[in-house]
Amino acid sequence: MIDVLVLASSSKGNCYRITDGSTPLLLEAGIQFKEIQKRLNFRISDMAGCLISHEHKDHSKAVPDMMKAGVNCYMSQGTVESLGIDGHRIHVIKAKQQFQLGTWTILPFETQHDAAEPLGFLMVNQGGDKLLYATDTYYIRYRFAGLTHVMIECNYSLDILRANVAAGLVEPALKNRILKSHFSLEHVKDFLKANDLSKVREIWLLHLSDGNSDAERFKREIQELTGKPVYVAG
Amino acid sequence: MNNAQEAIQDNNAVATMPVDLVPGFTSKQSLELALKAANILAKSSLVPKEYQGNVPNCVIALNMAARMNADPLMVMQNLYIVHGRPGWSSQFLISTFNTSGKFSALRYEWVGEEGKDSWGCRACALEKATGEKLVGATVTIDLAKKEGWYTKNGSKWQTMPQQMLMYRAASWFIRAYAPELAMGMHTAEELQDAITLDASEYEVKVEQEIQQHANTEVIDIEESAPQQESQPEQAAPADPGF
Repeated sequence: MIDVLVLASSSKGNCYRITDGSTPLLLEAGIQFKEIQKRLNFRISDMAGCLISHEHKDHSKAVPDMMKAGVNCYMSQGTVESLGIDGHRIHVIKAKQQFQLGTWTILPFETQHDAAEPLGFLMVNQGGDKLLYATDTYYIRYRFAGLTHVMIECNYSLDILRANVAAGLVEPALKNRILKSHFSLEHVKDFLKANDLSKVREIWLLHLSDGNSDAERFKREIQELTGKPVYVAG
Repeated sequence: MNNAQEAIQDNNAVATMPVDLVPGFTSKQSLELALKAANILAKSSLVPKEYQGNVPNCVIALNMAARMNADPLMVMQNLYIVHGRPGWSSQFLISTFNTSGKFSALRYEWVGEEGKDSWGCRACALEKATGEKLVGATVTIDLAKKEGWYTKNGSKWQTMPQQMLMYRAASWFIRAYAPELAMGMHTAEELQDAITLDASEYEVKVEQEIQQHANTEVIDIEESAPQQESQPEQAAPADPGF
């Protein structure tokens, strides 16, 4: 059984605590360290590790403090170099090279974002739960079998983004950046359709844009498409 | 000067304004009145969010309300921003027409067969001054299809065709016979239909890339694969500085 706690999920900051009951992990550290401490009841040291998808501050802000607090942080070499950090708490991981972290087996995979070496994570625990975590990616190259939990970015909808550009609320250059760095509702649907969801128990929609999304609509449409319980993080 | 004194002075200033003065842009006093009223409305949590904290938007709404002889809050609630352009709700436009005093209430005459492309309606009303029956242009499903309104993404023409036929027939009628009521603006439904948000060249290029590469490979965790051991330091004490 996987338990997901959303500490933050937006372009302002991302941080999630997941646990299978044995090994609690943090996914991202993109908010102030003090906030993470507070939300975890000051039990940071209980965390077996922290996986960082890429170097952007809304995912990595608290990494130095996490390391100081004794939490091992897992990220790609590209992310380490971009952050300019060093220390024995850093564990460099590579796409398609799985590793063990407590009761979790974790397979990192490449994501598509304007970052140095961004990663997503496929994670299996000893209870047989299989969780997919993918954020800040405008598509996923891969399909996955036997997923039970899906935590996936659903940043914007193309019709809302187009309307915001037409209304002058979003600059065309920013729109182009979003198109090639974040997951749209339409492409999340394509991804979910391409995967076997028969064992999926929960779908979490992450990192919704403040201005280019509609949480209620996204939840409804993904629920209608998949027939699964859908939660919007944040 | 304290707040109470300022309020008294403001009230006195308003009290000295001519009784027939309306908020708007017609004179310095008119604009001053509009600004005072707009400041109050902008602080209200009951006005739609486009007006909350936005004094200029409130001044525009007040000016429109004055010109239409309508309540400012009603104007605010019925003025929609569609793709950056203001448009009236059809209901409001019809209601403004019906209460203008110059015409009888709008009615609709139906043509064709329900469910067929020929199905449609036209709006009509009597001009009170002359007793003349005024008839608007006929709007049909066929026309909605030809104009591309029917097939647009999220189009209400497919889900509520009767309502859309009536709204469109009414807005065409009002623009033909009483354009001053709409103040040169379209209805929100018309704007939804008319503004096409085409995919940019860049959008098409990104889409092609996604279609080519997304969801193409299968990967999975190998149970027997040699694994990089990375044991967690459970309950490790905090070690600031290391």
